[in-house]
Amino acid sequence: MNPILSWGKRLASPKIFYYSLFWLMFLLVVGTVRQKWDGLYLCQEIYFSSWFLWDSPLPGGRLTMTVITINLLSKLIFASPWRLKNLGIIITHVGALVLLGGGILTAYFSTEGALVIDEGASNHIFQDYHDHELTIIDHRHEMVDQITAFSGSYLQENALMEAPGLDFTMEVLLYSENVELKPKEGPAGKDEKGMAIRFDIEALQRDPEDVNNRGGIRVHLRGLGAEDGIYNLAEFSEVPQTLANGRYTLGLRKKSYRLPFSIELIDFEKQVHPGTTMARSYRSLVNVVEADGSRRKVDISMNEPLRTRGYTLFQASFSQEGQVETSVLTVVENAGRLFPYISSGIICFGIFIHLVLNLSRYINRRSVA
Amino acid sequence: MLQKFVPVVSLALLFGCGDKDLQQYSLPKDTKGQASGHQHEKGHVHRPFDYDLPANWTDRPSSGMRFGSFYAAGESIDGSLVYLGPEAGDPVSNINRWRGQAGLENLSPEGVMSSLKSLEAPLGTFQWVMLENPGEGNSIMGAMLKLKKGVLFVKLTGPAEALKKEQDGFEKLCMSLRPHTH
Repeated sequence: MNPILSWGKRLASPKIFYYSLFWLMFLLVVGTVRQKWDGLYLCQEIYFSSWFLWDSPLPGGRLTMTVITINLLSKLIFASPWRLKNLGIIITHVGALVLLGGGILTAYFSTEGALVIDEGASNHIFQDYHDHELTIIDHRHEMVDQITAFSGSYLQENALMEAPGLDFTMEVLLYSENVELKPKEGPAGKDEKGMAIRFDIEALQRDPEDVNNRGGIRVHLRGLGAEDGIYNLAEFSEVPQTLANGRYTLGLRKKSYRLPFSIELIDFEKQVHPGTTMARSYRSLVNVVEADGSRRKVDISMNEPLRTRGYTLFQASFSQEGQVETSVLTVVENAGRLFPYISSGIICFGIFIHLVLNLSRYINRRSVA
Repeated sequence: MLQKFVPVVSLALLFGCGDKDLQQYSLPKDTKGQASGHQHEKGHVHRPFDYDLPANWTDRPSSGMRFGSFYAAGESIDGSLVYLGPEAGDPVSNINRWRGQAGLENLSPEGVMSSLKSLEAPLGTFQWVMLENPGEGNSIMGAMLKLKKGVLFVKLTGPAEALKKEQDGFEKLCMSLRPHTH
């Protein structure tokens, strides 16, 4: 037998689907229950978005879903009799694969973050809720800042950060999603520069609540002569770390994404429950400003998000400092957002076809009898 | 053909995602710091406070943690202004670090607190010390002020005699510090 066909048939085994589905249900229950203690984000990372659980051979949600996808695909290609009487089952299989395909797109190509806008101001940059990036901002140009941002695989020990146009490189000595800055007790090391002269950074366990975490990184910078050395950077630092007489600014911040349009906050309105300061509803009256300068007015409220150009903007929160009201919108860009609808339609259609074909066979059999 | 092609495409979709971890782009300069995440003015470190230097002191470019750098007594005294987050506010570790830099032994928390002098200024009450190096190294005259969102440090480093002569200028500098206005 053709080896591809042989392997395909093995991968199409219903046992794989059965045990994978059982394991997926187990992960779903444990991950959901653990949210009470570990928080939503950590549980998503540990149980649903991981290849393996806790660096063990136990498969995580992503690996399990991949196995199911391969199994269904193999079943469809190698083990489904392509006959009219199976048309409904084949269409249903295709629908399930479309759903899993949407899951892959969501896992790899979706972004979510917060867009913070002061009343009267506009913004087109939103920041991830969890992931960090180390940014190097080059201020040498008159009209623009050149930004280089390292994230993901660069934020781990021994990673080397280098990029075209940068005069220097940085080697990561330590990175943690949550750190504590500790005033140095002894004298600083001879290579330590900037904040590292005064503070050590100590990695802490990630807190389930994002707001309680403060990312930090320790890097060894090389290529700037006298300014070569070890630098500590922490999120939310009051003073940015500058280099080369202010030409560069180094910083650690939440990963930033740019919208292809700007949101201008015209007015923010908060309604409270009578006699309390508890918010009943928030709404942001905004202008969506396109690159060509055209504007359209949109009202974003708690249950009425703005959907435009693949992005969904939800009213998430607000803050007020003095007279300045600030609206916080959650921005979601999900490349796979339509897939659940499409796949549900396909699955329904497949089941309907299967029902019709079987019903006609049943009626034919009855009439023969 | 289809039987070979579909699995290959599926695996490529699963694992063939490009490296999105390095991004380079330009943004128009933004004085509100929206793009950079930090406030910044071209060619200068962001200055959270304005100040006036005494007449015979000379300003110089700042970088690193400093928002202000200057010389006094010719170039024999190096002066710095630094503003850090609230976690930098522990006077004992700060003063003992300065003492180490000035060649002095660490003091107990009680000893540190009793060595501090007070200086009333428009921004608040500075706690300051003069740390005289027993050897030939530099001495330090330093002040710190705890504010709501951070800690402000004023520090002069140089020969003890020169520092003592510039004490009046040091106090005037502390008195002149005020929130930065654009």
